[in-house]
Amino acid sequence: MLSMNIKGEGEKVKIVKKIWIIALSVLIFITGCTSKKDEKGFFAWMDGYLAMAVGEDYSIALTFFFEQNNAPFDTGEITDLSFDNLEQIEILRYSINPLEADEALRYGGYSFNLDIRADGKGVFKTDKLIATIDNSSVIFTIGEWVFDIEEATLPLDAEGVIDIWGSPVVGSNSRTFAYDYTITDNKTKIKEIWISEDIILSETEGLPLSNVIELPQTINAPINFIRPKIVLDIDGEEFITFGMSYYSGAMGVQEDVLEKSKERNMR
Amino acid sequence: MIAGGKEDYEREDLIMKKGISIILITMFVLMSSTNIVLAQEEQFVAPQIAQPYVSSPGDEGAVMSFNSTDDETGIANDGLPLRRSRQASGTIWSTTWYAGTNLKVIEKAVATGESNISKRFVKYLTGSWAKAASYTWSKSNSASWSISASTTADVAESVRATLGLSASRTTTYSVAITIPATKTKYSKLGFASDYFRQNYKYTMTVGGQQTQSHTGYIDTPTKNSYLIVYYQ
Repeated sequence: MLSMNIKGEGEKVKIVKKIWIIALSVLIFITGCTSKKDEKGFFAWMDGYLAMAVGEDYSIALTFFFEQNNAPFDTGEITDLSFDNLEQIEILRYSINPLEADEALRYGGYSFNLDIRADGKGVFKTDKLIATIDNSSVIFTIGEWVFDIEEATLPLDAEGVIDIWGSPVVGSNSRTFAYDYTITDNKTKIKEIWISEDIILSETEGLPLSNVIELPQTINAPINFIRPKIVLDIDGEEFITFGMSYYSGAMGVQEDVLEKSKERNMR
Repeated sequence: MIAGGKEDYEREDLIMKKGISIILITMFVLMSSTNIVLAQEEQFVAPQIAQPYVSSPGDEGAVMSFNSTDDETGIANDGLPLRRSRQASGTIWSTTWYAGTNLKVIEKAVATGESNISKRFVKYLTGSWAKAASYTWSKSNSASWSISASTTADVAESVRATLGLSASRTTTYSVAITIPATKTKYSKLGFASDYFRQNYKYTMTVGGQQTQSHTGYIDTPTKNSYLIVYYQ
């Protein structure tokens, strides 16, 4: 009986050892999966306010970073892209291209160029992009994006009324928004410029045609995309059109911006 | 003795069972949490498949994609974070030396004013005028300092160094940019920068007699730089 107990205990020890080995293997496997997830890269933290007309096509660019020479997927592996929970904004086309490699830098990256179209009027928000990679949907956090869709009451190029094409499109300073428009008609003045859904530049006598605006603290991403909505006063009547998109802080981006982006957007 | 061994055996058996239960519950929880993430990812059904496209750079109405390099160093250092170590007032810079044994020569530059220049064109980033629908850009650029035609590089360099108008180059990353343009006009993508202009007057006196004099300025790019589409 005693010897049987000893034999039984010996077997139990073996069983316990086996269970521990299996448990450890499973834990190592799970841990390995988790760390692999953490290495999947991140989008540059860029918040966006994009005012556009119903039915208008527009292009935006996002940047995806990852540890140099450790890309989580190839550019051709993504077979579909869409915004999360945002049926009104359709991605018509996209292209994904590697940024020029610089081995001296810690991170490499891909540019995501998206051609989008707005299908309905209203204000729509998202902070995620869904990619189909290898037949699985992968959710990426990109930044807070607001799409302010309006019925334009002027032709989209507003030719003959306001010329927005020569306005700056990228600025190195992440805390400013610059614009530079031309108006030839002295009956026209800029009544309002919307740079977010609730920040409106306005002046009774009309806003200056060129300016560099200090962004309020509520706009606090290291990179900000702003495509403003412009309200014109033409001989006492209001019309809505849109300005040039402006990427503030998108030049001279230093590594701390990427670290902030990683902290916020890493899956 | 045997009865005590049995009790021990039962106690050990209970402990072992508890241990196994804890391990299995822990494993179950960890695996469940992983499954939740996967399940969320797989719930989404894409509305349609968008096909990637490839643009043909240079074509009229096409997306124009290009890279450019820093003129001076070839490294990415766009938006030079220039610093200014002190305000210029009175004499900015002076030097004294002797010609021969006792002929005293004094050179000096005195500040005569300063101003800021907004969004001054620096250079084109695309080669030829094109009716492009948009531009894509993902590379850094830099502006360099410049001087008035009336002054000399030696004097300007001395003034610049004294004022601390120098660039501290840092490693920077490129981010992707898509820039709309109107394809009804010929355009080029260009690089512009804000500049700080320091005006000064240079004089040289030899043995107490003023022998040379001129006014000049130094334009130094600030950290604020821009991309602008320029039209013909």
